[in-house]
Parts: sequence; C-alpha cells; structure tokens
Amino acid sequence: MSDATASQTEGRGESSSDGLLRAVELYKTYRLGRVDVPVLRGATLEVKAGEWVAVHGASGSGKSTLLHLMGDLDKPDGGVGEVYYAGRAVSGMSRGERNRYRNRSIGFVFQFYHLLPELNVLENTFLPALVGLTRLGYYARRRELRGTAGELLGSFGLEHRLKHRPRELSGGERQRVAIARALMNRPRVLLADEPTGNLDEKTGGEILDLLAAQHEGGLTIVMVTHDRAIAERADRVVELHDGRVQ
Amino acid sequence: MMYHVLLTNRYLTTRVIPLIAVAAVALCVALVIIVVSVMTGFLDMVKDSGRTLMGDVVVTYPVSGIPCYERLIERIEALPGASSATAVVDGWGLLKMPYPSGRRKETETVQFWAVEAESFAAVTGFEQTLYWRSPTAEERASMGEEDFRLRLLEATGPGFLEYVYEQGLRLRFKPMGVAESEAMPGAALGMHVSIGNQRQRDGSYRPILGPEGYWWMPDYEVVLTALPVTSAATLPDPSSVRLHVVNEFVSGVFLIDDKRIIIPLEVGQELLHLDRAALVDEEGEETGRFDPARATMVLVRAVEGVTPDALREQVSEAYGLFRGELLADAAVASEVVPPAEGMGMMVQTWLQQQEQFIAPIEKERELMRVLFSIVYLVCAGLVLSIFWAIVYEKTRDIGILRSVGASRLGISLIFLRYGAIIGGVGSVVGLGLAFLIVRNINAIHGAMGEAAPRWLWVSMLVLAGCGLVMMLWMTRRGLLLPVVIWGLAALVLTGIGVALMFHKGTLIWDPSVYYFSEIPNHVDAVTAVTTMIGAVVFSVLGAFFPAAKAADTDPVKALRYE
Repeated sequence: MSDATASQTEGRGESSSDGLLRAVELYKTYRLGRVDVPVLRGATLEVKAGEWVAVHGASGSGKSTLLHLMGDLDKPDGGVGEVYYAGRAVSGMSRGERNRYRNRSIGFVFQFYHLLPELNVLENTFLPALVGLTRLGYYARRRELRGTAGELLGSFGLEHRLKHRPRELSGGERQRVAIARALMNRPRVLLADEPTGNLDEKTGGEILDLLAAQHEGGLTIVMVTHDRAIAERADRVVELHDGRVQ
Repeated sequence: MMYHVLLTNRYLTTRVIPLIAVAAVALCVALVIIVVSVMTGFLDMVKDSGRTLMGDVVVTYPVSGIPCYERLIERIEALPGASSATAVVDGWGLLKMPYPSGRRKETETVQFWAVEAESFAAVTGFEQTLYWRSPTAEERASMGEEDFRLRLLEATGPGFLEYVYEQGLRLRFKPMGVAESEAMPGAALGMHVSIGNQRQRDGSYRPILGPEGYWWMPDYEVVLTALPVTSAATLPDPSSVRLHVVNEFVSGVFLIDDKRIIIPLEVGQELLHLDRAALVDEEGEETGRFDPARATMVLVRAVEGVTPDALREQVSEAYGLFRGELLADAAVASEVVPPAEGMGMMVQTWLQQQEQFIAPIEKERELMRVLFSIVYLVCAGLVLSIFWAIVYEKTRDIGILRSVGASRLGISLIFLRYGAIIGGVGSVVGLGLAFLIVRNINAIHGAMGEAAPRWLWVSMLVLAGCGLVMMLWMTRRGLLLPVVIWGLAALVLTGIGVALMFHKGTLIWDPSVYYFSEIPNHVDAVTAVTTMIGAVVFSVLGAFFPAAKAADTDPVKALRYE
C-alpha cells in the first residue's frame, strides 16, 4: 500500500484519530513449554506523524513484541487488538499489501543489526528496493537505486565502505548500514529495537544523533529501549509495564 | 524478482556447500549417462554388426539348403526393394592351422561361410572389414609407429598390400606370375581365428614372431575339414580342402572374428555335398537327372529408403513364387523342393535373426536404466539434506528478508531457484564428465588392464608424505580442522599410492563375454538429455521441502535465531 493510498483511506473506517501508527488493545501470549506467558495485555500506543516515541521498559516486558506487532512481523492474539497505519487496519490488508507495508511504509532497525553476510554494504542497503523489482525493473532503475543507497551511506559517513562485507565493519558502522537499509525506501515510520543495545556509549550516542537528524527531517520513530537515558532522547517516553503502555 | 537473483548468486558463490551439491549431482548424472550410453552403444553395435555381416533380409534353410537358389536370387534382385542378393553355404568345421613349427599343428573349430565373393561384398560390408590392405593417407596418419601394416608397407612397397586386399576380395590365391588356372581357393580368416594375432593397445593387430618369422596368416595355407549331412540325415566320411589364407577380417564382433572364415562358394558346396550332383537309381545307375546345387542362406540388401520389414514382405512373396515355379518344373524332382516358409525355412530381417541376442541386451539396458535411476533419488536426497542445512543456516536471513517486505513465496523461490541452478550446473558438469569418460573409455580400460607406472604411485606417496608434513606442522598451530583435513588427504593419497603399487592390471571388458572387442564410446544423446532433465527436476524436488520450511519460518523467531 503506498502512502498515497494510506492517505486516501485515512479518516474513514476504523480510525477517527490523526495518529499515523496506532496499536490498539494488543494482546500477545507466548507458550513456553506447557506454560502460557502473557507478554502484552491490551497494550495501546498512538504515534503521530513526525513524532519520536520511546517505549521504555524492563527486559522481557514485551517492548520488542509490541514493535514486531506494529511492524506486521507478528500477529496479535486473535479477535481483540488491532494495528492501524494511516487509519487503515493492517489485519484488513491483503498479503501483498502487508508485504508492501513492511517494504515501503516501515523501516526496521534491530539491536543485532541483522545485515546479510553475503552482501556488501551497498547491496545490503538497497536490498529493500530490490524486493518487488523484477530483473528488468532493476536494470532500468539500477543507477538510481545505487545512487540513492550511495548517498544515504555517504551521509552516514560510510562512503569508503560500500564494497565491504558486514564482518569487516565495526558495530557502529553495521548499525549505520542497518539504518541506511531501513531508510532506503523512504518509509514514514522507523521502528528501532534497542538500536544502541549492542554498542558502547559513545557509538550509541552517535547512532542516536543520526536518528535525531532523521527525525528532524520528518521521520516518525518508534524506539524501544530498556535504558532510561536513551529513551530521554525521544519527544515522548511511554512506559511498558505489565503488558500495558502506562 | 531481482533479490532472488542477487541472493541465489551470492549463496552459490560464497559457500562450499553448493559446490558439494553440484559435485554430487554431477557424479550422479555422469554415472547414469556412462552406464546407459555404454549399454546403448553395445546394443547399437549388435544391430549395426548384424546388418554389416548379413545384409537386410536373410532367407535360410539350414543343412539341406535351397536348391536352384540362382533362380531365387534372380527373382529377388528383380524386386523393387532389393538392391542385391547373394548365396551362402554355412557350416562348421575343423581348421588345421599352420602353426606351430613341426609336424603337429593346432586345430581350431570354425564356422565357415562359403560365398560368391563379388555379390557377397555387394550385400554385406565385407570389403570394409578386410584388415590387410593399403591404408589411405588419413588412416596412415592415425596409425601408430608400431602398426604392423606400416611395417609391411615399408618391407614390401605399396603394391603388396593392395594385392593382398584384392586376393581377399576374390577369395583366390594367385601368386604374381602364376596362371589363373593354377590359382588356389583362398580363405579369409576372422582376425582372432589365429592365436598368433595379438591385439595392441592402439587397436591394431600384430602377428607373433615364430622361429621362421612372423606368423602372418596370409603367408600360409590351412586345411578345412567338414562333415556333410546326407538327405537321410546320416554322416558320410568327412571331407577336407586345402586353402591358402588370402586375408583376414575384423568385423568388430568378437564371436565372428574368433570363429568365422570366409571361403569360396563352390568349395563350401563341395565340402558339404551341396554341389550339383547326378541322381542315381536304386542300382546306382545315373538317371540323367540332376540334384541342383544348394545354398543354405540367401542374403539380401535393400535399396536405400526401403526398410528391412518392407523388403522382408517382398522377399517372402518372391520365395512363394519361386517355390511354385520349382514345383511346376518337371526337371526338378519334387522331393528336393524346399518347404513353404515357416517349416524350417525362414525369411527374416537381420533384426529378427538377431532377436534372440538383442532382446536380452535391450532388457538388460532397461534394467540398468531403472536401477541407476535410483541414483536420481540419491541426488534428490543429497540436495534435500544440503538445502535443509542451508535453510537452517539461513534462518536469520529469512527473518531479515521478511522484515524488508519479502513475501513467503518469494523466499521459497530463492531456494527453488537455488535447487534448479545446482541441478542445472551439476547436469552440465556431469555431462562433460560422462563425455570425457565415455570417449576415452577404451583408453581408461586399457590403462586399468596394465600395472600402474612407477612414477604415478611414487608421486602419490610423495604427495601423501607432503600431506603428513603439513598435518604435523598444523598441529603446532593448535587448530584441529586443518590437522584433520591434511591428515585425511595424506591417508587417501597413501591409500591410492599403495593400491596403484599393487595394481597389476584388471580387465573388466572381456571381449569373449561381451561379444565386441571394443567398449562402445559414444554418448547417447537421448539418455544424456533425459538424465540432465531428471537431475534438474529431482534437484528442484529436493529443494522443495526446505523451501517450504523457509516460507513457513516465523520471522520473529528467525530474527531471534542465533
């Protein structure tokens, strides 16, 4: 679903709010052996366009689960909760629309970077642009895509690393590549799961600066973290406690 | 999709596992192509040799023979589908060989075909099978230096071998300067009839050297003894004839080259008492009537474009008319008229005549094809297990791809595409390997038949020693994997070296068992194509389950996978 489509559907149907991304009454229970472990118990979160929201909570409080549900990597327990993007229920979208939602509307950044080891930095970055492109389409837009990825990486100070493999980069560099990949298709929302969790304080600070710069450019960010100091960098901090957003 | 292409290429080119999968598929493909190609080639050789040796259609009436066969030949040659026909008298006899030196000579059991030389050559490929002839410039270029024909050429000049060839064609021995009336009947022997002919590695033949020179058969005389059978099915005294060997032939069919000799028709008829004879009454007085000369077979060659089956129909009809003509002829005694077709008298295509031999080979080939096709399953199993390992290893990648919008189908297609490429590349490599082995199968077989050269096993043992040194060196670095790899290499090389050292030669293809003196060395195109397609299909099938598993992988679990 393109953003244009999202705008057209906004304001009708399920949502009357102006939130770009809304999680409403999300429940999620995992089964560990024979025991059901409830993680989310009716979590609700509304993120306005251009807002940077930090979800703060202890380890195991369900922060990542909330992020996965909002990014359609996982489904909430049936019948109750819903995630809305630009006013449209994600569960109401077709499979193709949901794939496009993850591909174009959302960008993910993970704690452990999750770069593909076989691809170099440039290829890792333009990977989201390749999804949905035929070979012919790729050859037609090859220069443009490589140019966009190169510019992004250049703006993150990685212009000298384009042909390097992820294993040849430092942790901070890998996370910058992961952010560049998340921004490749110019999504409206960035979902960041402990983006500095695996980095030292200085490098983590640089990554947060980078996110702040993107936020100033209008990017909506939902970041989950267990570190209160990091959460404070956001416009708004919400607490996730007992499976609910406080 | 473009990301399929990018990821498949990277998965293929940055890991060792796909190379193992390609090697496994290639070996499976090569195995099936080699086995079925050799079997198919074997079958084709049987079929081709049948046609070369006996033409397209054969009329047979064994033992008693067909009387007035000239009339039958005349009728057959008038048929629109027949280009030529020839009479043959066949029988078994004892051939007294000229060797060894001294009075006592070796005797061989032989099958003789008595033929009318000119028409026999027109119906069969006899003239191409004669071995002792002046080689063409092209043949000469491919001959080894040690080829006995080149020695003969050097020793006698170019005219001599031509002369020997002519004698072989005419089946008459007439030394230069001797009158035609004094010419002697000649015999062309199969190359393996004389035990003095030894096959060389290059496929040429060389007679062994005796005390009086080479036992080169065209220099010698032989004596053929046969037992005729009377019309009362009794055996009179054996009859013998002295023949001069005029040439030797190589048909490629071992059983023929080992047992058959070709002699003039009239000699064979006399030996078996099938020549023209005056009929006598009970008192032994000549009646003035004659028992006509007979032939036990009439071989027929079809004109270009007429199938053996079509010709067989025409010949069968001609035989019926011929028999009717004999029955109506008062000069021919009714008791000598051969029976109607089917009563011991047969008109068959060469294929039908050889059917008893061809059918089991065809069955054997199909059995081989089925048995070796199980290799396909091995191929699929290998790809399945390798891909299962790859999907397991790539679990996190699957989660990442889902997070950037890849569909489940898209992810499964990466692995299916991967399987198809491994199958395709493995098939092509397997075809190349099979082609190399099949084309050189006789050389490989020849090399296996001899003891391994010393330099080969010595080099293997030296390399094994190097491997051992590397292994010991690696132990100092404290890593186990290089130690295991070098240790294994040293062990394998030692095994090969020792095996080669004690290898004294093993011949697998025994010509007396397998009918032909050479192993067929043509890759069967149909087998190659079907095997390659099979390998790709089974590789994709093998990739199917891991691909489905990949599609079903929960992206959240995949991202948490370490």
